[in-house]
Amino acid sequence: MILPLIVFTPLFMAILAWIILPHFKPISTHILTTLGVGFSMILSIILFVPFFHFVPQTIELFPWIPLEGYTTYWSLKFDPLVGVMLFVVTTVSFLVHVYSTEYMSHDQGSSRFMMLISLFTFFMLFLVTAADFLQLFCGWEGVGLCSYLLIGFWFHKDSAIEAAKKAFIVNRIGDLGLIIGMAVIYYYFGTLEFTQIFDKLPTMINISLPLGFSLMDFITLMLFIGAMGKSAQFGLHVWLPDAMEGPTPVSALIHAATMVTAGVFLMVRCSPLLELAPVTKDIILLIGSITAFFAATIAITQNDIKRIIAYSTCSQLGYMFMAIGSGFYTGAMFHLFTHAFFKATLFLGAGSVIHAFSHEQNIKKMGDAFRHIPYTYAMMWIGSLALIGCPPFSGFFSKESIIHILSHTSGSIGTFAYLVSLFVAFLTAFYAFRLIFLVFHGKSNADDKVVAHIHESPSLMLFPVIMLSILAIFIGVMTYRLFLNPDVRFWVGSHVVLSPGVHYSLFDPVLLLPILGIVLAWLIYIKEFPINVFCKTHLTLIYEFLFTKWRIDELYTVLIINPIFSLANILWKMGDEKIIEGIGPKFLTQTTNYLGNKIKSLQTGYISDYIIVIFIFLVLLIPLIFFGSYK
Amino acid sequence: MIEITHFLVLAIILFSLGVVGVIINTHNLIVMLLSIELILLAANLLFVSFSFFTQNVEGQMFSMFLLAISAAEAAIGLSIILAYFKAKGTISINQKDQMKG
Amino acid sequence: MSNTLPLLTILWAMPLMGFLGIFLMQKNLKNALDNSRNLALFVSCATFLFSVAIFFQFDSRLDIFQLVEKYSWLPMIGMRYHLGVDGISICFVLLSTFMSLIAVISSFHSIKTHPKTFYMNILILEFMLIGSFISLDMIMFFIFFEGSLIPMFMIIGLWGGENRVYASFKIVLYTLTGSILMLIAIVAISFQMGSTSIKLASHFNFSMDSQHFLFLAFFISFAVKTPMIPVHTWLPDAHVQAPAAGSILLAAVLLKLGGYGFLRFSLPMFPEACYTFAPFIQGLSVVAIIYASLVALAQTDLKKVIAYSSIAHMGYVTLGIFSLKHEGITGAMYQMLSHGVISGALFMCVGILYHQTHTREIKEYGGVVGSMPDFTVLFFLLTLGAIGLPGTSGFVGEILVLLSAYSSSLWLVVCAGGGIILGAVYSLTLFGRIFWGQIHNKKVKELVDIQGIEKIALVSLVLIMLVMGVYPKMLMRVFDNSIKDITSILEGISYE
Repeated sequence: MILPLIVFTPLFMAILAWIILPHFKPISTHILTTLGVGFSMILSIILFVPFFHFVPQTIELFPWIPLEGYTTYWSLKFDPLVGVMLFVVTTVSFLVHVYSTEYMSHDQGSSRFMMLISLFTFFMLFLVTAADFLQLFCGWEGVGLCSYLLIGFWFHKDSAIEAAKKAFIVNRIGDLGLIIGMAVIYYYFGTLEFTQIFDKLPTMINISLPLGFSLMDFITLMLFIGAMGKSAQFGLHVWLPDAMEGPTPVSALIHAATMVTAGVFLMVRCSPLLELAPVTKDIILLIGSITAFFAATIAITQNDIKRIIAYSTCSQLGYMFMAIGSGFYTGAMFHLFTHAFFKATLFLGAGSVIHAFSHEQNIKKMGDAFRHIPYTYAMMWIGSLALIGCPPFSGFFSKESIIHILSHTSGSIGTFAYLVSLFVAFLTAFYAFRLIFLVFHGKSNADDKVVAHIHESPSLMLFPVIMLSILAIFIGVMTYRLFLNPDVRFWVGSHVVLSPGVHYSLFDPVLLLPILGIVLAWLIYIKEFPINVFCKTHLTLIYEFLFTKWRIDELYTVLIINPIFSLANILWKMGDEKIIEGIGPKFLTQTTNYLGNKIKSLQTGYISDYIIVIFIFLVLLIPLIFFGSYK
Repeated sequence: MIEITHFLVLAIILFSLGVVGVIINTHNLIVMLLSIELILLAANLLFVSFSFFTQNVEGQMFSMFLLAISAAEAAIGLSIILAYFKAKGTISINQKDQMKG
Repeated sequence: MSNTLPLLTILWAMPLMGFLGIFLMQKNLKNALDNSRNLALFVSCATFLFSVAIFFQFDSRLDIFQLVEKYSWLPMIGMRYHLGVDGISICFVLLSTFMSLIAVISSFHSIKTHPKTFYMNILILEFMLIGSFISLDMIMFFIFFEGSLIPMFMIIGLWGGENRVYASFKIVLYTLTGSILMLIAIVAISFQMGSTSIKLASHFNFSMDSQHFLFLAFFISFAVKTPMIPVHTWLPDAHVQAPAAGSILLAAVLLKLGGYGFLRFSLPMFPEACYTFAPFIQGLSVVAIIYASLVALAQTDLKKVIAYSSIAHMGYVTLGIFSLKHEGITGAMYQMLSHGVISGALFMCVGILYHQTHTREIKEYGGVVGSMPDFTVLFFLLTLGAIGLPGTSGFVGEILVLLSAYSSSLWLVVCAGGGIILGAVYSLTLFGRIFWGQIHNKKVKELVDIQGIEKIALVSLVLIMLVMGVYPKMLMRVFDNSIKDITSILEGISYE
């Protein structure tokens, strides 16, 4: 009974908030939705914390789509994997709710905002508790929808509208992969339910498809394309930086902690399939490392505080996919888990910074703020340290384990991924501390008016960030045994493929890399060694390339968007209006008119002409009478 | 010796004259009426000649009917032409497309 | 099922009575407008309620035709007055009575000229539509199928936009051209079979050659009606020119006659020919989906976008029907019902906007949400339905069609899925441009949010859409047996 309450309370509260929205003060909807999610959080902690009493179960609510020989149900599935996600989603969501009540309080649409994030929470919970692909897809699209509405929250801004649309459409491209994957699964397995699929796996190994793929490779590749869209992997990542048009709490909740990790969740959910698909695993490994690398390189050049963190998210998601590609599913899950907390800390901290600087987002226009906003400063430090993997913060445990596993991954792609993971660890430290130094140290670049106005956030905004940072510090130490130690029977009943345990060492030379990054950032931005200026002036080409985000948006505009629009126009103007209209109706009517006009001239009005016609036909009739076949 | 062929040729000539008269005449309704008479008479000639050569009296009977009919027709036609003349002041049919639809 | 009352005839006669009632009304009364529209509302409401009652009379466990009425009419060609419903047609009857009600409501404020004639036309259209769904005799079906054109011709031609005459002629000529072939095919069937009963024909073994000819004849006629590419160009014109009520009935019910025809005639009567032509038709459907979606992307006219999206959605219908699989046909059937509700509602929304601003140009709008918040929410939900978001009715049909399309070819799924992406592109672009952004048109600022009966109608449409999406079994249960009947005929062929 607990599970439906967890999932449906946010939905119920969102609907209730929507109904009462026009009649009550905004504060009522704030309290309502926050309480709803808080209730869900308490229940999911009750489910999650007594780890050893997991009873995998599926609650079937009522039938949804009847297929031949198998009916999909609206159902709620519970197993350890779901438990982890429930905990992450409800906790972060609750804290973000609390944060937003203050952060959004001056916005006219704050009630709408609260309602939407509550609705989002519901869809996310619905996604993770899905027992079959169709319901997962429902949650999948639902979170995409909420993300669309929240990115476009300030709908009078054209950039927000465009960003919202872009996010939805790019996600849809990924969804196409998911749909194809579902169609193939359904065709071969005759079902879409996870457990049934996993049970039937052994009989399906040797099927190959026409295109030269094996069945498993094809299915998982398609599912991965879906995951790429949602988790902003290289190629389909373009929406994530633009999504920062939305309010900051949205970025923290949706575009850092929960929705973007849905792709990772899906992949881990399908780990039994992936284990049979070596080609897809290589592809995932490759894409993951490319994503981690490219996002980190872009992050070091950006100036918008939210975009830096967004690219950082993208890069960390790359780590998770690298882990999946090397078969380290529990590690991916663990990194998802810790990342949710420290990235939410960073985002909410960034929100406080933006709040303090009167809605300025450019870090070049900040500086020397640590005295004014000490709490926020501390939170950002904690978040950044966790992000770069400094022991004993939570990021250390997850990231270290992934790098560790990657070092043992065989094959050239494995080696490449390992090198990338090391290099990205360095870059991560660099951009994280570049951000901190530019925002909090050095000399102030802001207007005097802004500086005079810098103030610490109210306690309602500080409380969630503090809670999150506490989680960001300790959650790694507390849980790494559960996640990564195969001897602890944590994952029982979840079908997640396990891998051997990881041993941490504080003296791993890998740890030097982040330190190197910090030192470099310190040299450049505190000691003002002009290395960055040197790069800008002498390596202009590379710098521009990175600063313009690898020019991928422009590339897509030229290669895909423009051709589609011109094709659309051509089809309309040429295809519809010229060819089809021309051959069909226009041609026929014109021919009819033309022939009519021609034949009309036979009617001269002269009696004699008519008589000629009569005689001609009489003469023609005579042979017909004698030789015709009309007898 | 006069064969039936000669009568046939004569009848065809008369008939064709009548037809041509109707077709190329664009001036006078009376000429048109005469031409139609000519066509009828060509038919009449055929009736009589076939009746003679086949020794069958029915043909000549029909020619009497035809004469009566053509007389009636001429009377009606002439009266129509008269009425037309009264209305239009001319019996020329060159007034183009009176019958054009 | 011991009905002594001829329920279907009564249902069928109700709009006809309303028609006569309005016809006999005094023309020059001051309140002719009020009287005629109130009577039309009453009659269409009563018809709808009555059809709901019939819907509950219907026993979905039986797969035969129910509530059958049969009288001899023209014995020399075997024609009979033969009515009856099965699971498929009862759903369409419900759809047409409901959408007629919506059409009447939507013209409450917008129709000011010749209201009497207008409502007469709406009711006679409803009568024709119900008739074509319940008749079990081909000639009767043909009469109603064609007859529905006449009121539509009047509605477009008299109350339409600036280019109405062209559009109304186009729709009639297009459909007539297609239907001539159907008439010939019906005559041919009646010669071969000695009867024009649909029921008999579905179990009659036509020879292979005649099947091909008959299939094509029916196919062309239904393809024009559906409409499929390349005989679709009448639809955008008709939609753009038609008044809101006309568009609603056209999109929601008239187009469904094509799909209904496929299910009632093509599949059960000519199964072998179906197998022969199915790949070709599926290819055509996919082309229709992509093509129409792309063309919709390029439109600047609000109504044309929705019109082209209708073509794309009907592409899914034909794709599903000619997958010749149980799921595909179920999905197509569901897609038709859902598209009926969604596109009808969307056209109603467009009508509401157009009535206040008198423009259909997308760029004239922008920022409508400021003045019409409730309307925006409803329109957005409908847009989601049109995109096929899970939880709305659009998803159920589309996903069933896509799942079944894989059994024919992977490329069908890929292309049809590409249509889904494009659908999101044009729908969201439309939504974003109209409702979001800055207000730059004075008229937009003065818009009044929906209220009263229009709001009730729109809200109920949206609720129906959501309920259909969350609990589709409610409706699928009704037509499942009838579709099983069709698939059993098809499977009987494929195993031979």
